[in-house]
Amino acid sequence: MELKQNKLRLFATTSILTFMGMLNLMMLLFDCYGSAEGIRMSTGIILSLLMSSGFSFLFTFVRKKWIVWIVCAAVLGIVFWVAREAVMGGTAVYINSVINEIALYFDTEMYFIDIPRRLVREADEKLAIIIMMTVFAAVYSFCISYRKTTFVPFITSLAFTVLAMVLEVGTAPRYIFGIAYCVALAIIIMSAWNKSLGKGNLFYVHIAAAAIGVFLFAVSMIVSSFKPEEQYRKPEYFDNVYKQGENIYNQFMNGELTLNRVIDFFAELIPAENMPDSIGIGIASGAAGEIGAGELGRVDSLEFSGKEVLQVKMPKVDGYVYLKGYIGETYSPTGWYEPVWNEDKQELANQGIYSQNISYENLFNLAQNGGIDGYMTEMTVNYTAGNQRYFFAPLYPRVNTALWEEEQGEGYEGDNPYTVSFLHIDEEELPYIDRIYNGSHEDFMGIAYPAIQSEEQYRYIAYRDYLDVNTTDSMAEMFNEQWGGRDISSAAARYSVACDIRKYLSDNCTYNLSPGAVPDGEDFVEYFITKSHEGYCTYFATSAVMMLRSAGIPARYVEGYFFSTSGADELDEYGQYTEYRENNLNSPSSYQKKLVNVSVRDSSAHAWVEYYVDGVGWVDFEVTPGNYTQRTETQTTEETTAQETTAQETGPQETNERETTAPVTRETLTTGSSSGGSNSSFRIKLSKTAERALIAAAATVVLIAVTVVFFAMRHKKVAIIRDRMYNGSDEALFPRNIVMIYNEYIRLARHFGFKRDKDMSERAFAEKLSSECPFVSGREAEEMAALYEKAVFSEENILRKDRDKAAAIMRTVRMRMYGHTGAFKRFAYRYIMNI
Amino acid sequence: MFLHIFVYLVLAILVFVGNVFIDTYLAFVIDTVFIVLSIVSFIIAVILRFGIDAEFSEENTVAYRREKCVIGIVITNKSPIPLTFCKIRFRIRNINKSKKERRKSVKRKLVAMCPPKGRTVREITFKCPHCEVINVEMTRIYAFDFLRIFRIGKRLKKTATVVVLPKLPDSSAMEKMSASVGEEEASLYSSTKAGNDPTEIFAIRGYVGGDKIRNIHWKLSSKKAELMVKDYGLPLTDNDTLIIDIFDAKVKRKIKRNVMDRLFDMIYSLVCAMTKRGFGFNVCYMKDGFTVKRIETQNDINSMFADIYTIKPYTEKNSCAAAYYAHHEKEKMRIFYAAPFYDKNAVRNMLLLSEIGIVYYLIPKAGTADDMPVKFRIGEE
Repeated sequence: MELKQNKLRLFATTSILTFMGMLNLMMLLFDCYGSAEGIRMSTGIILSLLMSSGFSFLFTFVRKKWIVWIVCAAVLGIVFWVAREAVMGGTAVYINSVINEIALYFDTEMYFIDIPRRLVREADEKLAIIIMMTVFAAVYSFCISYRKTTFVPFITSLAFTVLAMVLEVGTAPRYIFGIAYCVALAIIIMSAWNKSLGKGNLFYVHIAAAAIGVFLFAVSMIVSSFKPEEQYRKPEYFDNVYKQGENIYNQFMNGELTLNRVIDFFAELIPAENMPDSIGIGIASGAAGEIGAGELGRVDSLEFSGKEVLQVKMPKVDGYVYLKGYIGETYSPTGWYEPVWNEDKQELANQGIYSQNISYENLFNLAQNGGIDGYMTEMTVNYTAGNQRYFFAPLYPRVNTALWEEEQGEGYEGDNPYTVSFLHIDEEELPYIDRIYNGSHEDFMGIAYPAIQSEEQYRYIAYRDYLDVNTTDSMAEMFNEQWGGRDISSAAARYSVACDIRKYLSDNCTYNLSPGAVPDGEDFVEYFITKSHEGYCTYFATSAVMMLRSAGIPARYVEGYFFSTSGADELDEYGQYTEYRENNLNSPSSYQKKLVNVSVRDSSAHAWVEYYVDGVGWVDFEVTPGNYTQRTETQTTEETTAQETTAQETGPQETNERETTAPVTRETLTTGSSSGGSNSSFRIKLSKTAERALIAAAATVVLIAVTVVFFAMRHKKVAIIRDRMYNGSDEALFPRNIVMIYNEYIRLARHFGFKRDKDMSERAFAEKLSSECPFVSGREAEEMAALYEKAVFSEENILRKDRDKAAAIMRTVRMRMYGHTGAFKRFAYRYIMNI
Repeated sequence: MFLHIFVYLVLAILVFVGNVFIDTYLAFVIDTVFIVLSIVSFIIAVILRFGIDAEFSEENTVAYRREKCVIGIVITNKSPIPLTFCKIRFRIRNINKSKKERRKSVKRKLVAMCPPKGRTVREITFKCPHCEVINVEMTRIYAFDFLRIFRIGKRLKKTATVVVLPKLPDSSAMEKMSASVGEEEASLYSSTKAGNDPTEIFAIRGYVGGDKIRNIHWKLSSKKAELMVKDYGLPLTDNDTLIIDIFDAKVKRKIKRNVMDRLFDMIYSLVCAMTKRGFGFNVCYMKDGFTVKRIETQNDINSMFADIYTIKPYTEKNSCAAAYYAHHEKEKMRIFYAAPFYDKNAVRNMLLLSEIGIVYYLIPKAGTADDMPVKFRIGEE
């Protein structure tokens, strides 16, 4: 009798708690997401009541719980089998709606479930939600009745409550209810492991938990009614605390706190070997904030303090970013001397002609008119390490001053921080920078003429001041033999010479941050090329300048900083970013890109080379081993994407027409410490744990291999279908091809956050895309909509050119979208999701 | 206690930080829930504190050496709220310990839950490695709220006493001991009637139906190929006396403790065997003066041990044997003399006692495990 009474009590309390849990899920999960066809609140409440009492009854009174699970699984299985497409489609639609909310809130790209059309058609969200509710009800009532598993519904409810609060999809009463329910479950969890918790006591714990939950909800609601949401204002006190905290944080980041001095003190105790390796001219004395101003070969090894020198705010970009600070015109064995400002330069300056402006203008004109690829953006540079002697700006900046042509005097006294617009082109474009625009020559010349004229006026200065090979006679002779007489008539020829010089240096010399000081009396270049064969970037850059000059190409030595934007802190600000693509005639894609804040440290100091191209101006060129290799490989992948024209996209194995040099073997960048470890061989006896770990690793590898094979086969299948879609010759299938291309186009747009609503017409969607999507131009969107309408609604014959037009638009849009995603996402879109 | 304060402070800091970083109404919701929850939890803890009580199920109990002692605790909850978690603190210490030694008492905790207006029984178990009287004291009981954020304590002054008796003697030991006494003491027993005293064999005869299996003399039976049974003697006097002298010896405490445990084991074996005969005997010891007790039942044995555990070791001047000698004349009786060490004090006392009776001594001997009473013969000292 007592046992039966206990069971009845337990059934009652389990039902109440399960019902509360289902109510929580209804309020914060099923009612907040999904379309309007989802389940109604009243229906949900009734269903929750029935399910919670039903499952509670079964799990309380049926002795063998596995029977209940099997029956439940069988019933759900039958329902699923009968209406599988409705359930699967409805579930996928619902989950996509949740993901969409998350993506919209965080303004980020997320992976949606790819729903086939037939599932979308058959999707029944209501049924899917009911099935989900049934599963949740079963799990909740089982876990609550088993007390030690109560943490499962606790974690579930807490997760959905927090999610709803973060995404702000519910209202305050719903949040309060969610928290109150989680508190109730926490009470049960706290008591779960008490030895004296028999079934009799469990009833009291349930009652207490439910009572506390309800009481907490009621009292909180009463209290919050005194200050409803409309009247709520965040107390000023907390705002002040936030601001103070922010100030302290900024002071800490700027090194202004006593704590920073303490940290620096302990950091200085760390030996130099622990400092990260870097390529750079560094700071011989260890002081931060001032580069070595052209000094050469003075120290045995470089040491860096790791202190921040600059902060750069700019959009996140691929590859490395260079900041130029010091130009070396005249070589001496002990160092480079800055350019001399003379009357000729002054005369040109009076006409507004400056060396950096020339190359910027010419390259900009070329890029804007589809001659080369590149991007234009701006960066804000902030000196954070005290007074700076030099002005640091990116390559090809849009500035109207003789920044590096005049002596800097006692120090840079300009604005800090300052903002600079600049154009970036990759090294692969250098062979093509002197070509004439392949459109209308007259149009181009009309635009570009002033810049071309400026260059022609400046050119003689470059040839006059930057051709001296004033190393030793033997070296001059040797360089002349090696590089003299080479064809340097075009940009491509000069680029070829520069690449050959770089390869020569990397083949014959190794990178080493501790090469030892150049002995007194020795020439810096001669010592490097003929004796030591090792050094850091200044060695390579200086030697490359001498060799280029020997070939008849004006060249100069550059010092500055270089860094990457990957891994930098993202900011809540946006900056203008304009992308230029070859053959994209006068229609660059321009949009706002999120900014990142890069901390540039003294260890990022670097030296490289500038050489002169007739008709363009000074162009920058990397010669230090290891640095340019990375860029070459990255750009090969980028080019693969740009060259995509056929459906043979089985893998990243397509040839690159613009491949200029074979990838150079990367030299070690370390300071001589062996990277391979000890060569001594010894036998290892594996412990059981190690064996298991190996087996697990092998199993993981097999699993990964199977997964890869699966996705590869799937990708192959899609590729074949796509090929038929884009290149098929059966005229009867052209309308269907266009429809499929259009569907693919919509799917692609959805993955980038541009969803087409069910009742939205093609034209309306085209308008939406053209106004909101930076990857699709208005013309393209309209054409695509028109082609679709023609294929579906019109009785006209669909021709091959219509299909080809749709395919071309699709390819172009896809290319643009891929161009703005990271490598990983691009890979996922192409090979896993097959978009 | 400090852990709870710390946890609560951490929660409060998290809520505060949430208020700093969250600008929306959500911050107010979190504040409200946190404050209401804190107040409700505190009130629950207070209500439970006033309704909770605990006591021992038995205030005096007995345990055996080298076995676990189990004491029942009855927890009562008079409040209308279920008690999901409470903690009771105990202190277990030897009653004989000095003030200095008391600090080294064992502390234990017990957690339990209790329904509203109900009670629950829990047990605490502890080992009893030595013969002693143990005080188990309930010092405090703590009532927790449901989420264990707050706890409020209540002082309790409940004590239970546990007498740890020596190891239970097994029957073979009793038989051995029985066989070791009784030589040349025929006059102490009836020559015509059998009795129940296993210390004296009255006769050995063939098995008759109804005889106790325990009385079968197996060794003889195997020789004779028929079952032979022992008849025990019938003592003519019930004045067997056990004299216990606990002198203060200058030995290490650990050794002393082991010796005392062995001594008590021997005494317990003897008194159990003698009580089994069916009639009692006398025990003398020095506790607040010369004390004589008549032992006839198990309860008498228990109270006897409770007394002798609390005897503080004394010097030869207060010898119990001397006091007994002074009060008695020569009689036909057996005297069992128990002392922790076989030293000159013990020998002197045995010589004294041998003038008035037949003396057996129970003194643990190092290097031997066979702790049997041994007859004292003059000349062997």
